[in-house]
Amino acid sequence: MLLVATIALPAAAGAAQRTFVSAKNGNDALNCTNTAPCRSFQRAVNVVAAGGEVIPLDSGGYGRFDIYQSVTVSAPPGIYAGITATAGQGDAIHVAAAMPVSVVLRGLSVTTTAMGTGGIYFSAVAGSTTRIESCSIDGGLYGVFALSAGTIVTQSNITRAFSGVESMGSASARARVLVDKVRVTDCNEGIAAFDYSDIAVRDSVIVKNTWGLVASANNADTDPHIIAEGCTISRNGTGVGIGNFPTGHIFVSNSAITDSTTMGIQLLPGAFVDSFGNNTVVDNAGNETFTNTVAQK
Amino acid sequence: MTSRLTSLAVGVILVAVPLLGQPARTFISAAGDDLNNCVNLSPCRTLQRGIDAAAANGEVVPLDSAGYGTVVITKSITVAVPAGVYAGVTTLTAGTPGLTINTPGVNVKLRGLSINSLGGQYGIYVGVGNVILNVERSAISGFPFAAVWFSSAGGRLAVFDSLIRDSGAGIAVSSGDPGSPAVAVIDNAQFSGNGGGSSGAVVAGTSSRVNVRNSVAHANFRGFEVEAEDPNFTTMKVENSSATDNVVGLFATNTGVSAIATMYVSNCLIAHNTLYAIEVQSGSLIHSRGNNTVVDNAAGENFSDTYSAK
Repeated sequence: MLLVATIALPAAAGAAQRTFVSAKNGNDALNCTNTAPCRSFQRAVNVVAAGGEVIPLDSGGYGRFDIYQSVTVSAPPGIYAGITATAGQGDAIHVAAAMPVSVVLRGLSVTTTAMGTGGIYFSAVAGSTTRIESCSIDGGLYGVFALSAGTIVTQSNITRAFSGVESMGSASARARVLVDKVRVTDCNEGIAAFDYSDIAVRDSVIVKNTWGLVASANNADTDPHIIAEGCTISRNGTGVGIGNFPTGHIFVSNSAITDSTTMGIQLLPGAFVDSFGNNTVVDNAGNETFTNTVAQK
Repeated sequence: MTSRLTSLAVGVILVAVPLLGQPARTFISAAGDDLNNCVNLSPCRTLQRGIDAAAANGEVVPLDSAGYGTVVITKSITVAVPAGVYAGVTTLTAGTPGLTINTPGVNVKLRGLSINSLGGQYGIYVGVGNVILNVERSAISGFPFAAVWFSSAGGRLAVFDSLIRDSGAGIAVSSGDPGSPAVAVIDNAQFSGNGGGSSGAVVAGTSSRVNVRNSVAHANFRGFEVEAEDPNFTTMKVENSSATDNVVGLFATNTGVSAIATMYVSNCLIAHNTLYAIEVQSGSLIHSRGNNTVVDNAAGENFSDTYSAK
């Protein structure tokens, strides 16, 4: 009997290792255990241990929040966990830790109702790892904005943002992002690599955007790169292209670029959009020619 | 008559005892109590009690979202967390893995768990032979030694649809018996933040055979790694996967100079790795099918050789 009670204690007593929120009976005056859940993600994220987990117990809106430590915010399948940012608020989810952190955002529905604010923003602390998994992101200035290496966006749908996924690093630390199994629709720029950043896009669908993939430097010689592997890039204005300055490099492999209404491939002198010779490029209104073809290995 | 009734009664008891004492299915809940018998109307509180109370080859089902504690598994069992339920296992002390399997030959299925370290060194620890383990739809994070440590001569591991993060090795597979290699198949898994400066997201260790398919390794120290101890062969096959933003994308090494650590790579993306795309040491080999996209790495973009499709 004593042994059983002793075994039971750690799981029951370990509130700080994970915290819970509930729209049905949560209250931010509580301590965020599963029997006394809090109401908002912000409160639960603030009180959980560094490296701990935040879990919604039932479906509801849980409010925008800022993150200052390592944490996982994970909504189990079958539970809607909404985060909405409206005009005048900050990003729906803003990771602003001053130290390297590991952040996981999983199963969340993120909506931004004003173009002046964004969806999910990751700050630029080197050594951080940040992942967005199984999320739906709708609207705003950007769906995901990554300023550091170690960022993954996977198994998510992003729509109606100005930029679906965008990244920007610095001369000393490039931002490096993996986009895997993501669908980006109805954005101005589906996937945009800005200054000093590298984005690898894999097994993803980028359709119905003004630009599909764009390496779009804000300054000359900042050399943004995108690699697309196994993607469908269709029914965009321009499928893939180089943006503001003629700097940057896009590689396309095992992908389809089709049905673009302006052009399949937009080129600027001095920049490159290269093929591995294994792409389907048909039925685009304008240019369908790559800069070079390079060999696979 | 008395003897016939007695025989009947004994028969009933013999049939009834396994059903009552070791149910095929047990339940655990945040509102449960380990003094209960773990049926769904009176669930237990911890995963350990749910496993102990279930029959061998039975199932343990969490009814609602909660942390359920670390466990030691000594028999064949399935832990099945339904979609919509969060079932957490968190370790707080260095000597306690999240889940330990310490009985040879058991068959364990783990489905839908969140295994997290706030002090433990191993997420899932297997150190005995002939274990069959499936890990499905689970998230394992933060273990400085390994998220999944599978050292099992003759063992068979499968990891499907899972997320392995921020650990020393992500998944490490090995066998102490060259005559009984450990085998592993990994499908649709995501690895990030693993390696700890010295290891890989997936490590095929000595005398193992590892297949990786449709998986991604991003921002680890090494992506996919094969290492052998001379003269025991170790192989890894990587198909339709990616290694990006690691220090080293693909890595092979062994303790001698023989070509005993080998990796076969097909239809993969190897990009944005910050030191080497491909690093081969000590006569090991990393073969390419000739259909890989290898680009934008700092250095080392050549395979050992190319093999033909058939």
